[in-house]
Amino acid sequence: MRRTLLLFSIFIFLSAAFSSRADAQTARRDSLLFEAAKCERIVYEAQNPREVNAALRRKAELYKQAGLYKEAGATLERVRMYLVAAPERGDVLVQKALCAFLAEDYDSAMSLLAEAGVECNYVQPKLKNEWAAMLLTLLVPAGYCYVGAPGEGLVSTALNAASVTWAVTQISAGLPVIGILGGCLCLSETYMGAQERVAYLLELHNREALREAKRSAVGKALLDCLQ
Amino acid sequence: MKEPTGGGVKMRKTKLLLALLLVCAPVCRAQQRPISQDLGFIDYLIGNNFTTDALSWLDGNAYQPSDTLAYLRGLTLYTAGKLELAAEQFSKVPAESGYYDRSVFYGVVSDAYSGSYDRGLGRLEAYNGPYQELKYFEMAALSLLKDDKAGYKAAASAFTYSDYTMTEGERLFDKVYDERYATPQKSPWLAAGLSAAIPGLGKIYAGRKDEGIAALMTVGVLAGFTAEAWVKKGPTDWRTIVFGTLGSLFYIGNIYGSYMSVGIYNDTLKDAQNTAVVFNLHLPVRSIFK
Repeated sequence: MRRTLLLFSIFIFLSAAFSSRADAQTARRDSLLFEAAKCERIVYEAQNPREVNAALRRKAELYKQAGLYKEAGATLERVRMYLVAAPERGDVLVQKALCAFLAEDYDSAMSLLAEAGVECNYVQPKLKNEWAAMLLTLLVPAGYCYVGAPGEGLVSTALNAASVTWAVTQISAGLPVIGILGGCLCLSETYMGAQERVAYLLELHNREALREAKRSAVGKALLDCLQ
Repeated sequence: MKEPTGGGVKMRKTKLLLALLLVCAPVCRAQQRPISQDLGFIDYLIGNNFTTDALSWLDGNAYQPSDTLAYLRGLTLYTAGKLELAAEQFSKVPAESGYYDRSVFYGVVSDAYSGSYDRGLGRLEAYNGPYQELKYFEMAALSLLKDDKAGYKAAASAFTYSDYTMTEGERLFDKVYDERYATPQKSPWLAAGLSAAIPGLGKIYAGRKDEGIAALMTVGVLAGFTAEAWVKKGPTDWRTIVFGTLGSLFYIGNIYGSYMSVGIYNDTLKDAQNTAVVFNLHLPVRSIFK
């Protein structure tokens, strides 16, 4: 009984703690968004374009703190760059790049950094070769191993072996139609399926490698700029 | 001096609370301000699609409750795509309000998008304002969405095909009506019959040519395997039994699949028509109440 009571109390305490934390986070976000709306009010009422720029930059910062990175980037896009003093222009562009980076749009972040004159060259990652993969998949498990999926390769090999065994046993049992046609149909699924799967895995691997290289390069460049 | 009893203490506390409430109420009320002060700014936010700002602004400020506030909240939520909430706000605008007409029609569009067709029809039936053709236009659209043939006929009789904001929509609704009720629909039973005669033909009839050819080949190959095994090994050989069973299953499955395909085809067509109806439903509302 005492143990149940203790567990119940802990449960109540943890629920209260977590729910108040979530409430606090929501309240903070709401307050940031309200502040951002106030900045927009300044933009709406401002007579001076410099005032507009200052409000927009503040609003972008608030959006960034609220985790709305795309919106922060879009707000910075509205900053009238011709009014921004030359030394500050780079800062605005870097902020835009940071928003794009946080929104996981690394290509835009790279071009913005380039515009700001910040060097951001990513090291071309070692991509897997499409032709090599295709040729290696002629020997099914080799193709799978090449793209880093040996487990799948093993399963695929077993299925291919079963298809061939089926064809051979049926032909030798005097049933050529079942053997040849059936074997071909099975192999068209297992063998050609392996080719398609390897091509897909290769594309996935290369895309991810490229994305990671860009992410790391932009992240490093931004870190250098902001420090 | 006489000590107060338990009941007396409770009574005194209640009185104190009431007094506090009376003192605080006007103070709280004084902090609320009319929305009319910020009308231009909120119009600017909605017009520029800054819906996050508009929602934060409306939620963050203490405005006096009013029909304008309800309408603006509704319009902001509508622009932000929060249609259920928008419909609720539009419902709060009373008939005496200057925003009543637009609230009714924006409310109907929100209802149509969120699938609350009956609520939308209820709004329109209660409406007696100047936009009568728009009322019947939306009633016709909701009837189509509800699949109510008679309701559509009754509402469409008020179409004039002369208001440029609605002409295109009215013609489209008539076309959808003809396609749905005047043109014979594809029959699932005919598809099943065709697949029974020639495997895959029912699928081709349902507009799935590739699947039809694939079904014909699968059933054909399995029949061929069964025939070979039967001729060479006899009807009791395991291959004859396995391929025969598989072939029969595919054959029956294909008949059932063809029946279902026509149902899916009809549903897909209806979905596309409904999407077009809902899209055309909101266009005149946007144009008229810009």
